[in-house]
Amino acid sequence: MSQYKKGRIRLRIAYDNHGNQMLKALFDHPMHTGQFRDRKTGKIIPAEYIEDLRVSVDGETVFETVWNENISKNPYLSFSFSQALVDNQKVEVSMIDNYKREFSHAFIVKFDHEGIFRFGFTNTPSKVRSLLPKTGPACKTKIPVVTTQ
Amino acid sequence: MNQNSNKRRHFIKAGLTASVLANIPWKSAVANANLLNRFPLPEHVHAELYKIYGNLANNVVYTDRLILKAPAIAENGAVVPISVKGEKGVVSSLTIFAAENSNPFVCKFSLHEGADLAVSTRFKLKKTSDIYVVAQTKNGLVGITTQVKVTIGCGGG
Repeated sequence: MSQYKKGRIRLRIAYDNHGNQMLKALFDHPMHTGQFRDRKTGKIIPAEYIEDLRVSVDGETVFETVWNENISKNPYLSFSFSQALVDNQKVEVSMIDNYKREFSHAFIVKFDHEGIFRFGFTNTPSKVRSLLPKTGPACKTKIPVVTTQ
Repeated sequence: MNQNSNKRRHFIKAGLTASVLANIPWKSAVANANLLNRFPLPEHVHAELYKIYGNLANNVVYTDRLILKAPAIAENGAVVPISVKGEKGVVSSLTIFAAENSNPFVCKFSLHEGADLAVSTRFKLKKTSDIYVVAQTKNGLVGITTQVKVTIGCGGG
């Protein structure tokens, strides 16, 4: 994991079998339970996990989760939207871990000229990447902001 | 004679059911109607559920309208995928419990306007255990359960 960066969020928009849009998200986080020992030092690794996570579209919260140490390392999350996203909508994912550090990532929805995405049925490469803007500040993951309290 | 015996049987039946129902602490019509469909929860899981939903946790009804996907055998207890699907706009929040974990509460999803119930994530399991998924609807809490066998457990979970 050379590029491991705590708090990095990777987002994709995909279509399920019924044609609903769904958001897929991958987070880089160790999710320590606080019950394992470090093999070299013999000390217990303190618990470190994502507590709260929310997804908003244009500033309105759509989806919220409460997590704890039972979630796997480098968590995965997906859910489906009831209304399809439109161009120029801003989707933002933000989360807080138990040290009260905040991580967030946002992107602006942009469909290609066809507006059609194919997955797994044909050999054509998926066009999910075209959803994310190639240039601009929104496409880059924000550097984790550490807030001391 | 037949009528009389029928009446007597009905009377005995009614008395029995009444006595059974009288022993139940909650007095909700929904709970009594779905007495046979009551969702079995272990005590410590119920305690966790009570922390979240309060008195609603006392009558959880078994449902087959939720589709729960989890592996029957998980080779690695540290990464167990789970996904829950349901009808549109019915469920407002959803909680997942793993009975054998040291902290049985796994996660809670709240779905606001704009999100649908097709949720998936990955979680840890200490050892082979039952998984309980409880969802909140307008009519109360509904639940569904499966068992996941774990060959190599995650000690932390």
